[in-house]
Amino acid sequence: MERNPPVNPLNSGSPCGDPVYPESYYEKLAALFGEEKARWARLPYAERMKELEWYHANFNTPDDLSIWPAELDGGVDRP
Amino acid sequence: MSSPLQFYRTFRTLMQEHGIRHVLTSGMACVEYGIQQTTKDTDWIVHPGNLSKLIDMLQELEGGLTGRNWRIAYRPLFGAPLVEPYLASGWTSHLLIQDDATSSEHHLDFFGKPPRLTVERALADPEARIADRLIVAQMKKTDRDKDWPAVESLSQQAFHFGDPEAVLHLRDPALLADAWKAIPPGNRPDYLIRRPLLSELDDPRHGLSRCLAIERALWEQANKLRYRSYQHEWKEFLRRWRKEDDFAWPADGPFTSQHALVQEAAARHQLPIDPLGGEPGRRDIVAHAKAEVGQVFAADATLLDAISPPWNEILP
Repeated sequence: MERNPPVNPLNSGSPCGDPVYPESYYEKLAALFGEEKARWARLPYAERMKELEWYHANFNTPDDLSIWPAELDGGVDRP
Repeated sequence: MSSPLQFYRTFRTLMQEHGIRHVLTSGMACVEYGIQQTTKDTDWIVHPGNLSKLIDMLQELEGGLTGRNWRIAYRPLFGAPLVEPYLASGWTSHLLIQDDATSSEHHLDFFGKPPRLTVERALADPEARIADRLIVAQMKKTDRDKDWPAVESLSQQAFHFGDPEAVLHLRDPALLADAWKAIPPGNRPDYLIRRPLLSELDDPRHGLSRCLAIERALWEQANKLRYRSYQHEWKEFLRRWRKEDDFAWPADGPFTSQHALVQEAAARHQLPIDPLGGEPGRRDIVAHAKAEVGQVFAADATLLDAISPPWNEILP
């Protein structure tokens, strides 16, 4: 088992340390979430956050419509 | 105008400065762990004993002269009043904050005792500001399909960090087998109690894939039954409150008066503190979930017992 993945040398400000996982992790991430989200996950923390700021500024995301929290009731897919 | 990410960091710093024991969890925690979610909302676990400090902080931030002049309000479906008895029993409180006139509303949900976890486990690390990966994974064992890939990815991250508890959450058969091999034999009995399907890795009898599917269905069904209790009680409470002649909700006015209003309404219309009914109710929910999942999967009691985590793992 690989322990304590190395930290991304370009990390800037991640409270989680911005570890870099083995390639197999990102392959599995792509299988679970799609290639685009796996690409995003590979970016250094600061770049990930920059992209996310752009998404937030330009799109209404589903949770905007969620009245109850996910753990209590669910989002727009559960009337 | 602050972005959702800027706002959440500001709010986290403020809670830290006010000595409020807390961690960020759910979707925004996934964002921090590099698992992208599109959420703009934030979910916080706050120690129930610190909720009065949180209320004081919110009242301070709302102040126009002495504070930041934020608009702070309960959302229309507010869950329960932001006070210890309710949140310590599994309710959540739902607030919105505007931190300047041009800002969009920031939605915040507060947990005292998060689903599927004890407060002690959720806030075990006094230095943590973000819930650890396996806490978030445990909270994500809901009945929504979109949460399960996050459970898996968070568990895989924990596995790569060498956290033995990842074996309680992993669902990828190959990684699960690797994680199980890494557990010293002397420690395995404890893990087998908490996740019985691990025995399939030593002695395959029922098929690991089938066991994993049944196990997930148990978590999902237990979650449905759990939140239905809260949802039912909240709706009944609102129906009773609505019958008042001067019913007015959502209410305008400062957070201080809203907080008093929802507390008085909850007391007057008997919003129950613990809709699950303590340990007997929790055991009952898990038993019902097992029965329903058994029907769907044509699984007999022996098989279900060989897969189902104990009631106090599912609804502690």
